[in-house]
Amino acid sequence: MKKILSLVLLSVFIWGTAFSQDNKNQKDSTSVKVQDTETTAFDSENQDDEGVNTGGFVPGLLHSSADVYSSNTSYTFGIAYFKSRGFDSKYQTIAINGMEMENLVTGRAAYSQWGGLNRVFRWPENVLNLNASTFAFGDIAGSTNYSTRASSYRKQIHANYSLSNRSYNNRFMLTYATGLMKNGWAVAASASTRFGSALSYVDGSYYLGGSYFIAAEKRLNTRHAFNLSVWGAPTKRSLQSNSTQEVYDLTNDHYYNANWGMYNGEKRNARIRSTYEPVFLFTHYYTPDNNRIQLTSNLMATFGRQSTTSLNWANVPDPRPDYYRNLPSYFKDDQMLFNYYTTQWQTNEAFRQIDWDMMYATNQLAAAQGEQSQYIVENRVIDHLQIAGSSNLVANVTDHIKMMAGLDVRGYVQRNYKTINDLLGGSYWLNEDKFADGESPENPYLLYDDLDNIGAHLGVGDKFGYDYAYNLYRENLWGTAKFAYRHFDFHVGASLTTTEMWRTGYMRNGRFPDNSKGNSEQKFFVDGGVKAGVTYKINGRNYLVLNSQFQTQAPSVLDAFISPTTRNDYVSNLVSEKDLVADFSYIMRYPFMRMRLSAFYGKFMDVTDLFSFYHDDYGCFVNYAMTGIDKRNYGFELGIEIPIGSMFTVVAAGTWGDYRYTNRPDVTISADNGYDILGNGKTEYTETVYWKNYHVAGSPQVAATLGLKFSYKYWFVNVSANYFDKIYADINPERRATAARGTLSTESQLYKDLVAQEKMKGQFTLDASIGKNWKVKRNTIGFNVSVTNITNNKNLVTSAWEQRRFDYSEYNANKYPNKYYYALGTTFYVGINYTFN
Amino acid sequence: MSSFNRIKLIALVVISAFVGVSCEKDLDVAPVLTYSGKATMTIAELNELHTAGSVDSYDSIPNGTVISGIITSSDKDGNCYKFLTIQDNTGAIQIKIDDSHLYPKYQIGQRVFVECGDMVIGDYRKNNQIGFWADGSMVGIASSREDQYIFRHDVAGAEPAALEITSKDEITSDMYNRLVCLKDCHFSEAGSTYCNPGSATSRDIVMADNSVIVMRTSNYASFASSLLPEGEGDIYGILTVYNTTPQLVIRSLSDVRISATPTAQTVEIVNVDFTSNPFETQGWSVIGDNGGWFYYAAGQSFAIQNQTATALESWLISPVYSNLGSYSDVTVTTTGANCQVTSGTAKKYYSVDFNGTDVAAATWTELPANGKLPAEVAANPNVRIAFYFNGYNGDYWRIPAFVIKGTIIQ
Repeated sequence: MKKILSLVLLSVFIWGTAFSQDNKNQKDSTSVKVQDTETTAFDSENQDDEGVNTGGFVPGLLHSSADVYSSNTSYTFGIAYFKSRGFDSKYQTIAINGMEMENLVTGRAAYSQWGGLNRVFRWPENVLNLNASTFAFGDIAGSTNYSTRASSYRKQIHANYSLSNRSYNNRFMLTYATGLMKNGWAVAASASTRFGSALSYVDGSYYLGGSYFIAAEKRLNTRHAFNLSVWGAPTKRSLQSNSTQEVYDLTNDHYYNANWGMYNGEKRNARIRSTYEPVFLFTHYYTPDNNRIQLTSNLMATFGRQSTTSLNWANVPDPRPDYYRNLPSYFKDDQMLFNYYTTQWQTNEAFRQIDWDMMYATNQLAAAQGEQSQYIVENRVIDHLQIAGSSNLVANVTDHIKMMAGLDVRGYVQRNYKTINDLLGGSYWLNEDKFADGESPENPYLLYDDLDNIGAHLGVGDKFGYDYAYNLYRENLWGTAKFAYRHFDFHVGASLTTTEMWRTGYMRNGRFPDNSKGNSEQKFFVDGGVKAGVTYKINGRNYLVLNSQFQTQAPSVLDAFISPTTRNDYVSNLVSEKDLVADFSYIMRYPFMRMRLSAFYGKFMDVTDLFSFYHDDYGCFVNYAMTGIDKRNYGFELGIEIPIGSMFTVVAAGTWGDYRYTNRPDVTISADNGYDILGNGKTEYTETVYWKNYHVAGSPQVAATLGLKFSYKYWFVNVSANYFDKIYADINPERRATAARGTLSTESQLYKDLVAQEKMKGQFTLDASIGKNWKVKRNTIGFNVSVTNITNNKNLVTSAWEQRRFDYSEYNANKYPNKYYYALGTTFYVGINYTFN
Repeated sequence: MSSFNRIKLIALVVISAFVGVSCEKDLDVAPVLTYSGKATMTIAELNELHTAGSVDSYDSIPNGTVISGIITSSDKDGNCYKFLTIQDNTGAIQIKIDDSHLYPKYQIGQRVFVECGDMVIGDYRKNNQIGFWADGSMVGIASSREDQYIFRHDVAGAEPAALEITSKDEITSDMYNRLVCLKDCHFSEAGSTYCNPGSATSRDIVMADNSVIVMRTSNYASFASSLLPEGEGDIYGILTVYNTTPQLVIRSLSDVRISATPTAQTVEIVNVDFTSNPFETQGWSVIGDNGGWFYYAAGQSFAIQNQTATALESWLISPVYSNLGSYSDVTVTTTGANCQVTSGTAKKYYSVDFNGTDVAAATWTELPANGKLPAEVAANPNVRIAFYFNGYNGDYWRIPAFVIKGTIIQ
């Protein structure tokens, strides 16, 4: 064990060193967890050629076809960004061959790592909610395990083409598998490309992706087999902006995208995300002759880069067209300007999109005068390297007892920095924080992001702004025992995890010269989890299931530092979060009706959250570090399937939930440029957030579907009507604190506007799909068409949030109105496939 | 228990759970801002620290001094610019702040505490202020430092009661910076603008005793080009001083409470012009002894005259006026250039039961001297007016016009 650990540590060190020396070529990105400003909603990449959604917004665990609730809601609820039970996706365990795919920084698996490889990443093993799994201890929102074992793919050549108007238009996919050959080898490979945006909903979209997968397995004998699988999905795509309702109303378009503008006769998007993070996974399968145990061991390496471009600017106004000072509402007191801006927004496309030509002209003028570029395109780069090893044991101890245990050790380095992507006709860029300028004349160094390179004229590819790494180690040991008896099944399990984290700064920041460069203090967390469940099998038709789990989890490194871009300071009171979840289900399985009815309860305690955003009034990035957040989710789930004849099935499924904050956490607010936030000489302050009983946003808390399924002779037709409600805007903690309330009376309109939490109107959608497969000799040809949101409802809000800025000068909650993303209107997906067996 | 009964039972449990949990919870409320310290000095005591001299000057304030007061000023309309005025029971003071747009944060009626130990008390042309001293004059608290000196406490209440002033002679220096109410006054330049274009302007407020208090208005005030109203009433504002001249600074137009109440509208309901001869056509009747009323063309009037030695009694009776009920203060008058009675008995009566012929059978009541009909009479649709004359030996009564006025009932 120690050896493995040292080996991994050593490898990580070597890789990490290699990273740090590879400066020029590496681009960076921010890991600043901005209120998620970009999204690619409802990707068609998550839909495979069988019309089954395989992930993304509601990852796989819901796909368990055996569960009458999950199987009927996972796809249909996806359009509304529904999260089962309101649990964040970071509470899901996603594994491949039993190796957890979690990114240690985000706490989530990156589905984009296998985007476009739907044919080989399909039919995973899903363990719902709190049930016990064979490959992991299992997080509270369920576990999913994909297999990339080459021999698990039957022999085939599979070709697929699909057309869609979601995030990309075309996808070609070719898959080949040999099956297990006589020589003990099995090989599987898949390649695909995704491209095109002409049909896309969002103007100025761009998409280009390629994917590859190869797996080779060698069975040495009946006991040992080795499998090497390698895959990657280099993808480049544009991001969609988010806006206030004013902008959507002015443009009469809920999908208005501020990120593009015409340049040289083409739509140029300022926000392009490039991702390429390949995975190497080496797996050893051991099954002794007695067949009583299976041991699966993995070594994994993933590395790569995610980079996102964005506009930056120096001594000029914010060039983004929907910046609030470019909107009519900013001129509400001047009727003439108000009318002018309104008319321009409504009728002049150039006015409501990015003006590239203006930026080039300005920069050229600046260059002629020897000045720096006033506008640039920057690239926010995230490079990562992860090395991991795991071993899982499944032992059938007796006919009644099955034991599972596992060990997982991993190291993770993520480097975050910015580079210059395009000087836009200018000559150079200065690594200075323009907002710090003049704040403190007695300390001129405040201005510089990189004290070791003051005044350097930076060109394309050069790093600037920030450069730091997160370093993480995690070791996990778990065990679960399942017992099966005549009327009772039950399981118990336990897990122990240790986490180490620290930050390494590579730039000496002028505001924090003494604690920005070099290593931070290391934090060490020991966490545990226990789970237990019992199933009472009344008879073969009726079951009662009670499951429960309690666990602690180290805070995410993203939430651990007050201002990771600038310094090594930890958020104070950093402690592990505690999660307690239980559910109780009644499951019925009659030939005339299948049903599951569940009640669930989840309590999250001591949750830490950090978010950073650009604060217009302070003119800099501001960090909100929240600690001690308690939340509580409870609700009910119901799924019913009633067959009618042999061809039809009526489906009804829905959930009602209530997700709320249950205490008053603390928030520490600080400014990256040392701005005196409260006017009291301090650059940060802590206050209590009074948001008990406010709703936790992020998912509709009510969702229901009523559907009819038809299937006959390889034809299938599905129609479903769906309803979503209790969709709340994410609230700004600052507006629920004393500083924002000031001395307002609770009866005053200003106060009511200040603290009201917006609830969106409930919305209906209608979906339909049809498909058919034919046998042609030994081969199969098939097609499927699905149309989502047939009624073209463009008013379903998928996310809404209060801006983090608050107008202290007027106490006017409406100065920075809420922002929204809307679900797409009618979208379609058409796929045809041919399989040579 | 059959399985269906079990289902029912579970459904019942679930439904009751739904009902039980669906009630809306009270949302959290952040406590209001409060200040935990106490005032160490009254504002009157603070003011005593400084005596204005021939030029602007200042005095220091002891370390640790805290004062408290209620805000009376507002820069919402731009007339109270870059200062707050606060007052307690003992006095008032201006806080100079280098910041505009203070009103959302510092509302009228808001209690504040001011930790002014590091500040100074000085004057601008003898009007006391706290702030800082630089280059020979007072300067305000920097906007970014406000929160280090000024602390709001609790929800804003009502504005303090204004000190009532009825004459300039009542003004004493301890009233400066207080909220005052000038009683029963008017503007001498009603109809002019509050402020002349381009510069702050003084306007005279005339008190009931004719003493004059100056109202000073900034040309940046949002109401600078509004017109001073006619009429009399009360004017509220902050009483400041400029050298020796007290000046009232109003905060908004709602401080000017001059009764611009529209005068009740009095109209002529009936106007019978006897300078022509409408006598026959308008339904008038002449009843009584020989002679009677006639149209006197030479005098352009209606007239009656008795040349004989025998007294003659004669009635001139109007048609029914059925529309007087919609007026108040219905008044009957006879007017005109030659309206005169030489001698004899001339009386005006009203009646509500005259049948058109029998004067004696009707009840006649004499109009009071002011000509006002009792309200219940005016409201009667059968009301008539009568002119009664009794004279001899050349007595006459001439009436050029007959008018009934009334005030429209709103």
